[in-house]
Amino acid sequence: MRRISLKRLSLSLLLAFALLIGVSISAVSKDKVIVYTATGVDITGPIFEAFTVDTGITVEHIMAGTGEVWSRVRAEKKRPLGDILWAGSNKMAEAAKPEDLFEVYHSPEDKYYRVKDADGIWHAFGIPGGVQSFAVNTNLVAREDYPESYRDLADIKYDGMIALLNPTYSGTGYITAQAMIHLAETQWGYEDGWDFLKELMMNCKIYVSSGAARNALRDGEIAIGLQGEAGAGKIMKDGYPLELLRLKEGYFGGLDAIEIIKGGPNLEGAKKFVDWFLGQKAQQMLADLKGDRCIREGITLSEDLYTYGFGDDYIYVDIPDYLFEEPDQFKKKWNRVMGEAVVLKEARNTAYDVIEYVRRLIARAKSKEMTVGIEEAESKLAEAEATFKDGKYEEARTLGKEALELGGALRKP
Amino acid sequence: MRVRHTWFIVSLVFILVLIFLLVLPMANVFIAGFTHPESGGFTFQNFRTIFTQIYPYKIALNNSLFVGAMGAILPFIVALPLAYLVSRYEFRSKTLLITVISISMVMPAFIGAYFWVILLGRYGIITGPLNRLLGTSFSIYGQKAILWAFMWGRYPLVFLFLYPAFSTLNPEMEEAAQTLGANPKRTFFSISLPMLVPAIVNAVYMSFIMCITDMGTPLVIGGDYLVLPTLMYQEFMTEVGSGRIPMAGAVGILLLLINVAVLFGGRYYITRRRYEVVSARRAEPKKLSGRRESAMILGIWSVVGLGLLPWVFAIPGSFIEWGKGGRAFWNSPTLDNYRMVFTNPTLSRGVGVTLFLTVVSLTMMIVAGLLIAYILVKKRYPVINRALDILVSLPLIIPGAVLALGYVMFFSSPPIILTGTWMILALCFFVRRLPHITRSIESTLYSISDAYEESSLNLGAPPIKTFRKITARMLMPGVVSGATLAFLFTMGTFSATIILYTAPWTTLPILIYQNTAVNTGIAAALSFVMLLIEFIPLLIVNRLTHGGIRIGV
Repeated sequence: MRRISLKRLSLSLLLAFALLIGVSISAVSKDKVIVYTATGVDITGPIFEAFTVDTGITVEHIMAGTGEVWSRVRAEKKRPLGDILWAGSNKMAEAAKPEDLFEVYHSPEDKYYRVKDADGIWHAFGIPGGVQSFAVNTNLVAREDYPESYRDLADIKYDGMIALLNPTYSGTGYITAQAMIHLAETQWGYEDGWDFLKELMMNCKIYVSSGAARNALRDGEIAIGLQGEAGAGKIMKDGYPLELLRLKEGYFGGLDAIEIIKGGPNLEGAKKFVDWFLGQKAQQMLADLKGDRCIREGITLSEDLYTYGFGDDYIYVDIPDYLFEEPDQFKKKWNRVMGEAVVLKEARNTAYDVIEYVRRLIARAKSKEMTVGIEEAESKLAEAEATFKDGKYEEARTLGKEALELGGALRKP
Repeated sequence: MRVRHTWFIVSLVFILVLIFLLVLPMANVFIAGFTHPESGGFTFQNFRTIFTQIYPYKIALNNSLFVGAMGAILPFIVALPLAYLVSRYEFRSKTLLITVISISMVMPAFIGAYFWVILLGRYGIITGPLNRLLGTSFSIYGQKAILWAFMWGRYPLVFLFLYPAFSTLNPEMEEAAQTLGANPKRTFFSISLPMLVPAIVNAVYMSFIMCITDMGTPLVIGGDYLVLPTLMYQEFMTEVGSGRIPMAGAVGILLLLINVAVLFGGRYYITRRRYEVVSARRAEPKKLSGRRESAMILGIWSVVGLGLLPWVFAIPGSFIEWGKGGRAFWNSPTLDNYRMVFTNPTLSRGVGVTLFLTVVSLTMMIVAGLLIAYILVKKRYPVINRALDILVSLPLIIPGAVLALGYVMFFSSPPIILTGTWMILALCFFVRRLPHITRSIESTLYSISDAYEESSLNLGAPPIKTFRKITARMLMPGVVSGATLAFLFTMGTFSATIILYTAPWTTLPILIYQNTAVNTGIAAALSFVMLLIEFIPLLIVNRLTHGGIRIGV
């Protein structure tokens, strides 16, 4: 090995250092606000840039999933490092009021909004990315198999095809799960909505972030997934085989909101940001870039909502706020029920296979006009099917096997 | 008397520093793991939950063990033939090949994994058109994608273990066995294989540990596939608010224990059946004839090239427009991705932040590494040497994310509050990669005679001055090779950073991760920028030191 010059090495390191310090100082000296957001840089980039042009204040951001940025805000409560939280719905902020995370602020722009917080904690501005619905990959689901109601999603024919967001980490997932529980109890006659949720979970893959779930839907890894109009529109525009479903119960969800983080480094900047953000210009940008259904007066909604989405025609399901009051209890229960669903799914699928097998054998026996014990087998099979529908999978499997025994013609010679 | 005194104090200081940066934060993780989430008392409850509650804990545990085991085996498919051929035959570009393989070992795995999915998903750049043509629906995703990415991400590591082992295999022994009447099969199983066992076992457990602790890959491409590191991250991320950090701690401890078990299992196995090679003669690689050599070069480089494909793809991928839905528009080239990277305050700052943190932690590593290695080799303090030795190598088995969890807990309350500063990141980077530099310097130190120092001391120079003027300079080769490895590793750190980073201190790997789900063009541009700032400094230092940089073998 050749000799190494220590002087040269340290000189170059020193140079690199000087350069770095220069870079970091130039970035620190300006007036800036720090925004925690779950929205991608292709949308936040232009918006923050416009804010900087208008006010001279630089914006730095932390981007992560809604659950993640919320936990950052919570974790930093003693020493907040961010100024603005732009993630999650007004329902989440409403439920978090006792935690005292946010600064009270009444913006002069409030008067243009039909939904606003009397306490001045959250500033709701629109349905993020348009109305959320389930979208299907048209290559993977035939038109006649499209679900019509949320309830259909628990049908075994969608086994492994549906993506749900994990409600213990994702705000959207939380609202979805609560909506399913609510709908099951109020519209589909379930005594306990969790029973329906369990049936649904058996069909689902659980994703942690909406980004990952969207990409899985786009890439055909799953067939049916929750998707906002705007997001679905973008994917359709790029030529992927996707279609938004118009499920009969309608749409549920909260409004996106921003909050000022209490005790953040730049309160004045944060207030300026909220005023500017709620203003006409920023909201119009948001409608154009992200496809939000902005609620501020006089905003023109994105054309994509009419081309690919529901236009002005959609039903809104209101989910009562009390459902969101105990997130910790909910999380625990969700994990437990999900575990039960994993186990139950095995039993369900085995029972289903047995029933299907017997059904096929009966059909074949009939087509060959073999009759020994077929009637008995058929009635037993009907019994098995009914038990299966009731969710008693072990019993249904036993009944299916009994049907097989009864049908003499089903036995191989 | 003075001589002894100074070094004694230095070693004590380092033990204290390492206790602060390593032992106490880890103690916090252990305490948390054994704390009852509600009552706050001591409990085994958290572990019982992991082993009994199916979702998400048992599933994640099973998945982790599976990807760990597969991640230890699959890379051999690529590495084994490669190492055999490279060690047995002589061909042009061999040195370059080994350098390229060594460099691909330290690339952040999750970035490669991400671009693999872009390439090989159902509508991927490669598989999309093929699927349409053939009417198939081939895709890699979830578990498959993780295994595929692990195979290509870890084969360099396995190669770097196998290649030296193959090189020292003595063909005379095989010949002797065959002369004595053994058939080729028997020769392989009773002569060649046993001599390869240590290398294979080392490669297996190192690869296992790297795969099971990898958080970025499953986070980015795993979809709904849960593993322990991602689970720990999510437990931490969502539960920190309501004070339910214990589950994250318990998952972290479990991960650490699996690592320790695998490591010691592997070590034990090797010591139990060690074969000494007495002859020192190395096998001479065979020369190949012209045409065969070309075929060999082509074959080997195309395998290595395939492994680098996702990285190579990131370059053109960063210069085109990507649809909002994630589609690549190859016929609309653009510089917009780079415009965004360099004008957006957060993105452009990322480059500076990454370099700053790396250089700061690297400087600390070099200073500490030199001193610690010196103490370990030249001093004989009874308990202290042993303690220092253990403390320095501990980070090798502690998963980055688990250490980071300890940092968040330990440095968020008095006596020292560092959360939210760059220092917490720099210290964590420092302690995690310190073993690489220390070990590298240590091995160089063994070959340096004490005579130089003694003459310096005899001429009246104080010990620290002697160290600075004499020993440190002779150690430069060891420093440079250790520092290179540490530099590349630190630059690409993901799992620790994602837990520790706060507002203005977002590093490039984090920015790349954030953009993977939403904007491929920007993720690609950032990846390319990261490649450049990894390798341009290396090239400069290499030039300044006249080719002094060496990685691996």
